[in-house]
Amino acid sequence: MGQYLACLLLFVTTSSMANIYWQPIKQDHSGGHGRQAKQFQLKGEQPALNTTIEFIHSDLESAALEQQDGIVTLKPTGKNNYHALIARQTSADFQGLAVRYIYNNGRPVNTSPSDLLALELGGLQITPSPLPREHWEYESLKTYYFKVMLNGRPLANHPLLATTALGSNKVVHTDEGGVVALLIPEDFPTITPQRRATPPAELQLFSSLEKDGITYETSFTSAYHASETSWKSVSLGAGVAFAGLLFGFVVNRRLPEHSRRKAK
Amino acid sequence: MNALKNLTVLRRFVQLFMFVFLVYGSTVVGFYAADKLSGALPSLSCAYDTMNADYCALIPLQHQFHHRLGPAVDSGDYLKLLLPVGTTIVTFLMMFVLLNKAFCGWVCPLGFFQEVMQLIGQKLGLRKVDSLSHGAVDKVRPIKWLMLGGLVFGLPALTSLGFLSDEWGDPFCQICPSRIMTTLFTGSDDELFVDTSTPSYMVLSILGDFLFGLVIAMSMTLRQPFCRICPLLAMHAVFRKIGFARLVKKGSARCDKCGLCAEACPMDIRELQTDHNATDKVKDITLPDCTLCGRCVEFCPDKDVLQIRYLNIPVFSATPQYFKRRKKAQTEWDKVKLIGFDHRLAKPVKVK
Repeated sequence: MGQYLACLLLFVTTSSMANIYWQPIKQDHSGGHGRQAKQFQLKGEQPALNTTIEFIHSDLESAALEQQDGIVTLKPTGKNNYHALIARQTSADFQGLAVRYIYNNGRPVNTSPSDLLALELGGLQITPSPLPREHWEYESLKTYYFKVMLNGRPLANHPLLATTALGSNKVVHTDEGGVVALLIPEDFPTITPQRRATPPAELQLFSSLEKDGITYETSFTSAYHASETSWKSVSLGAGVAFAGLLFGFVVNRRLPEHSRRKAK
Repeated sequence: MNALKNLTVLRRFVQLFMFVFLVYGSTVVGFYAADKLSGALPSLSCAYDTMNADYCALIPLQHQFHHRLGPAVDSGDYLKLLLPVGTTIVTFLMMFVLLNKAFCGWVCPLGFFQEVMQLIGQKLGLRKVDSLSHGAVDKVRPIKWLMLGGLVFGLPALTSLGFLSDEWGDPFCQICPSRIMTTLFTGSDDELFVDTSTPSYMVLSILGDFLFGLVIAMSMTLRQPFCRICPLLAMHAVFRKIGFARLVKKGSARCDKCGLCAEACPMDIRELQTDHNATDKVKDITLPDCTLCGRCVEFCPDKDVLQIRYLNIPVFSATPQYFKRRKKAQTEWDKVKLIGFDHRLAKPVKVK
């Protein structure tokens, strides 16, 4: 327990000081179905290091981006599916990486999000395994899986700090295959009972490692939403289905017999 | 009868394979929609199933009408609607043309599920109603068109135009039993719920849950209860003339008095018996409600009166020899009962 707390403290301290991570800038989301420009801010930059920003489209085409007043604006690419926003800070003894996957609407592309996730970004990398599908989102009270890799190789028994913008913190460890299971806590102070009615919060995953004199740091961020269990009742659903079942048996007993064949 | 030469047994194997593939096949084809086989499958394979290999054409059609019709009307740019809808329809047709309505009888996971429930009901000794009356069939038949026109196109269109609230954007998916059934088969109860967030969602979720229970119970007594009202059956009916697979008939005067084909039909298509009798020519009898299951051909005792043809080549024909073997196999199969559940409840043994 003490070891975990120490680890947590170390991560909280280091992440707030050093790890770079993406944070969205709140915008008016009325209309557009995700086709409007999106803005993000890179947090935790080390001023002494050069920062490069890359935007990998869903068809794996890559574009370099610049920050303007500390903000990166993503214009619509016209391509459907997940894109990757990547920031890197590197020096002789340091490699920092921040990744965020962003869903855009547009024309279909021939590549899959699996191809995007399979890209080796270099250094320490947290990869969702998998990303939520098109109509799903990260949601509290559900378990999601992430793979932690160093230069493309899974890192076994490696710690990872999961934090939320609403104040939850948890240290989780990868298994032998470098995969970590994370249950997102329900920490929304108030939940409006309807899909998307409660504004999403930020999930932030951090990890770091020192190897061969190089310090690797990485982050993965994404929005997550309040659990739908607040307004969706499975037990009520099962009860209604059972009522349908009983009603069906009653109907069955009253269905009139009928012979399809004509009388000879 | 050699089970491997029994068309129904062969069909069940194909259905089982397709069920496993469609419900759990994401490990084969990939996890994301971009990886799926078509995204417009002519069968009720559900996108809410996170492990699926493909999903049905009704999902994109509802979304396209929900999200594209309003903006298209506003801007006057109808290509915004026609292009995606056209892409879905063309993708649907590229698959549909290969198997025609056999997507219902051989591929659909919900169709297979209902057949399995029917087997279970029969083996439990529950009441079996082989056919509905002509009147009942005639009343049920238009429902599939209402489901297609109302739930797949109408309500999403009205939602897009602002006449209805956003909850009515994909109403068929909200009540589709395949959504609940396939997700339950993957071990997830995420889709079996009552949504209390808005009155509309509550109504839709209660309808969906109730219908799911109803379909399970009814399919144990009546053959294919949901298939009879399925909007995909209606959509198949629209395009059935372009499919490579067909059911054809060259009837004789004997057909008038026989009726075994109509009795075998799980969809109660009485026209199998009454249409195209005493004719010299082979006629296409792939009727709107047909699922190309082939049972009518199996139970036709006269040579070549009924045939399943692919690109006009006979692939399965009625023969007296097959009929005799099949009839015997069916009689033996029907005798196998695990429990005489219904009979014990309904007809207590009288002690003399």
